[in-house]
Amino acid sequence: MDIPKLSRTERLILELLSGEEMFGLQLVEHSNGALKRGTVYVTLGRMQDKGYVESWTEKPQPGAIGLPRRLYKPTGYGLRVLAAWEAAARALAGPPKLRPA
Amino acid sequence: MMIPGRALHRIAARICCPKTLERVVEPAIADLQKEYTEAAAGGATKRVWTLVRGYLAILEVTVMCAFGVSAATDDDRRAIVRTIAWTFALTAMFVAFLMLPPMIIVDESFSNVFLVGLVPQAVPLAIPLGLTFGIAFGMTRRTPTGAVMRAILACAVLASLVSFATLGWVMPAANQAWRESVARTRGISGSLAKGAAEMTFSELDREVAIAASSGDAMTAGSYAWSFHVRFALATASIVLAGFLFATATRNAASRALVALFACFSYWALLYVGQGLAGTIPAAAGAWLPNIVLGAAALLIAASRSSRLRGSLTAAP
Repeated sequence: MDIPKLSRTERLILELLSGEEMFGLQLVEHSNGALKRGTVYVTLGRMQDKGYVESWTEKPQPGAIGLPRRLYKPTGYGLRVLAAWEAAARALAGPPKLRPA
Repeated sequence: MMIPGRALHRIAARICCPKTLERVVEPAIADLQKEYTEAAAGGATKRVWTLVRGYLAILEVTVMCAFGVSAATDDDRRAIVRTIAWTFALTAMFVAFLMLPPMIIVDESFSNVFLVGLVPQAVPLAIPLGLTFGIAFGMTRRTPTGAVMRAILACAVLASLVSFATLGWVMPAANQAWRESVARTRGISGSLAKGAAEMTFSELDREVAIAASSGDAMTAGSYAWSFHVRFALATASIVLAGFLFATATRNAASRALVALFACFSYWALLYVGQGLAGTIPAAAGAWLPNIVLGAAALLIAASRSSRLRGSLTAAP
């Protein structure tokens, strides 16, 4: 069985999105510099392909000009992958404690 | 109010697939447009800064999609970035190395600014060398995937365009300016007669016609070789990158040896082609290294592909 892979950037995006749905630019602003404007959309596109996030365009406001913005939220599968990776990270954190003989 | 991003959207629509356009490029443009609308209430500096940041981000997204980097895995992207970083560093090193011989002959009266004039003649040679060894060192312990090869070959095409512009226009002008500066410091005034390396394409073409009409086949062949070799050298980056990918091995040391072999063979064949300029057509002589290494790369790739197919068919 293939274990789903989750890069550090993808994990950060899932963590940010687990609180509320966001636009790409909002993710960049909330990441304190960890996400870059030039790469966040590419990463989000790849995460959609993997099934980690889903997206939809906002409803156009009356009189609005320009393209509709795209909102993102994690899928159930994405949240399960995040939870599994967090559990793995917790389980592997720190060196094993040795009991005295 | 003018909404930014429309021109970029049209460009992206031409080079990205519809799915990438919808999922990756359009959200970036939509966010820029929203941010710009909000910044419109602020000062001109804020608006310009918003535009610059937004356009740079969209350009980055578009370039990544066009080169297939967006489809690559994190490992692939790291390999691409590493290869490009090695290529830049090694190209700079080779430029400095190739500038040493002319620097040795100049004395202290020449300023550092003057030495910059030597850079254009080193760049077209340093770029293919830098890219070849950049691939060898950048692909540490991994076989290049299709996404990596596509991205690096796209970089090789860009490198070839830079080489072509340098060989065609920048190098002749810089060489002539450098020679005239040297002559002036030696007390020689007036303009110097141009050699083949200082001539543009049209000037070389004219010299070929003059030499041919006067029956001087050797001079005509020499100028014709100089004309064609600029096209051949400009595409050396693509040929050498293709050769490295065709012979790809996981072992870093053997990849470095292959890079060394490819570069040495290229320059040796270049001299063989120049020597044969009177015997074979000048164009064939100038393109000899590209033809030989390109054909070798195709043969090796075809042989590897058929071996792989054979082992897959033989598998139980």
